[in-house]
Amino acid sequence: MRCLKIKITRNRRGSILPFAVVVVILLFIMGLALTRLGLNARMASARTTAEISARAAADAGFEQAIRLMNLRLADKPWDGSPILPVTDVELPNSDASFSYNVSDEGTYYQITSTGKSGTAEKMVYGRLMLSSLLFGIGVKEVIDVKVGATFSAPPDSDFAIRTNSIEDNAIVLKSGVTIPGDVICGPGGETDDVVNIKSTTVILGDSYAASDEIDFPPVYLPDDLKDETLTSYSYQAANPIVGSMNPADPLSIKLDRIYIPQGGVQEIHGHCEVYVMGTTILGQSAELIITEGSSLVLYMGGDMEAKNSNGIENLNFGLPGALMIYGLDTCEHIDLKAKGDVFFGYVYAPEADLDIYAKNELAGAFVGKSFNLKNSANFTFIPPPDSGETNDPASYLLLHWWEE
Amino acid sequence: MSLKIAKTKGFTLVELMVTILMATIVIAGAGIVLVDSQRGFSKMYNRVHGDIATDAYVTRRAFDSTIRKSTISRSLVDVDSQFVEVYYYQDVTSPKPDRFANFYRNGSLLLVDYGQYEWDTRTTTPVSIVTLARNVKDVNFSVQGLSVRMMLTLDDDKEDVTVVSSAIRHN
Repeated sequence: MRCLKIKITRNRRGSILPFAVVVVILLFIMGLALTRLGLNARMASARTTAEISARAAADAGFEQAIRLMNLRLADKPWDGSPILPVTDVELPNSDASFSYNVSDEGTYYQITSTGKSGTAEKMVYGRLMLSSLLFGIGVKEVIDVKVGATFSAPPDSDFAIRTNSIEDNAIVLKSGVTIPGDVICGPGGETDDVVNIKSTTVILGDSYAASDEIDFPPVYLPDDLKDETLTSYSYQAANPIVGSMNPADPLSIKLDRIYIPQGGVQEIHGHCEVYVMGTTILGQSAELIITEGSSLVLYMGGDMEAKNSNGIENLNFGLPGALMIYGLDTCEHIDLKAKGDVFFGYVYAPEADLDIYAKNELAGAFVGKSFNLKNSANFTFIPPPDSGETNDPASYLLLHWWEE
Repeated sequence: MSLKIAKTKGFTLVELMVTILMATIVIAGAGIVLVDSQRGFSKMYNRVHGDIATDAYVTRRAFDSTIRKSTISRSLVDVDSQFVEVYYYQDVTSPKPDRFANFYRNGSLLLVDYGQYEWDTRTTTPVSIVTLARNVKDVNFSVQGLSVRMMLTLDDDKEDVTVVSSAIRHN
């Protein structure tokens, strides 16, 4: 007998496949969302990076513009025109670039610096003004003010004591010293370390680190003095140096040296500009006198040595502009002694160590490699007259900075 | 002739157990993957678009733009580094910095006071107070040379973010 088997199979569908499909779809959607989110985060990160790069580029362009403007001051004579604009200068090691333009706005210069990185763009602006470097006491290294020295300055003046140094104790203000202005150290310096003050020292302004070092440009010797015939100095008693009667057109004299012997008196009558190639020596009790109504601009190629009880006497009281001392690069040391312990004048000698001996009055402003006030004098800052001469020591001061 | 119909056999207990076990593993695996993905997504979303991320971003922007325009010659920092006060010009016609901004922590909030500043007398007159961030766990301000630095930690019990922002003063 044949056995017929009918196999009935149930055509049931498995449920694992749709389940797996659902899971895969869910994971796909989730992955897609995650990818999108990651992309958004990446875009935001890239945008932030580009903004920061553009900002850094704009800042770099701005700093370069100020730097180049100040470097131009060393090119004498200088006509006051701004630097040329630059476009799309690449910032090293980045994909950012900067452009800047400096425009002469009459009383100030305006810098516009633009930084670009990808689609990001940043603009920063600044206003510069030519400002005298005779702002008070400015040095590259050390300022040391002895006990009890007093300082005064006109109320609205920008009097400051400033060094480029960031070394500890670069500015020492002994007991009883009161500073009616700011005390400034070099960029990056910690004022608590750089400025050494005692409990009775008073700083009426602020103490802070500067944004940049001051360049203190070298002294430019005017052409007329450079070309002047060299004269050998020979001291003769009661024989004054007689200059021009016109302060705008002083007599130019080029000397090999100045040596005033013990007890000697060298008077200046009229208006003179004197270039001393060698050393200036004032013997014991000797005097260099700028008589009333006269003026002296002294360019020093060598040092100034002062023996005991001598001094430079400017009889134009309250007019420190009547005595201007410039130290060339070869002038490394200046001893300043004030006959009668009163000194009125300006000293700009960025490579020289200034040792000042004045027990009573000291008026004007000083720039040197270092400044050492040996006595407890009363220092009065008198802002220098704006002569408009391109030889005046000056640098560009940032008045305002802003950004978009 | 006989017709023999094969009976459909039922599952044995062992088959059922194995099936259930396998299904459980598959479902649990898929569930874990899905939950992990969801968690990852939520975490990443919060890091990018969450409240503390937004607060951190806003704080950094506000701090940065204010510090950059402030003066280098004067600032005030708390001895415990809990606040910093900087001064800036209202506009280019101001002869001296005449505005101030004081960033400080008040409980779990990071606030900034803006207002007028009298340079010579060093007096401040607050005009507005802005809340920059909530959920502040820690904040620390310092001034080093020209730069002012803020280290801010935000924590809302779900996420925590630490923002370090340093900006150079330009005026």
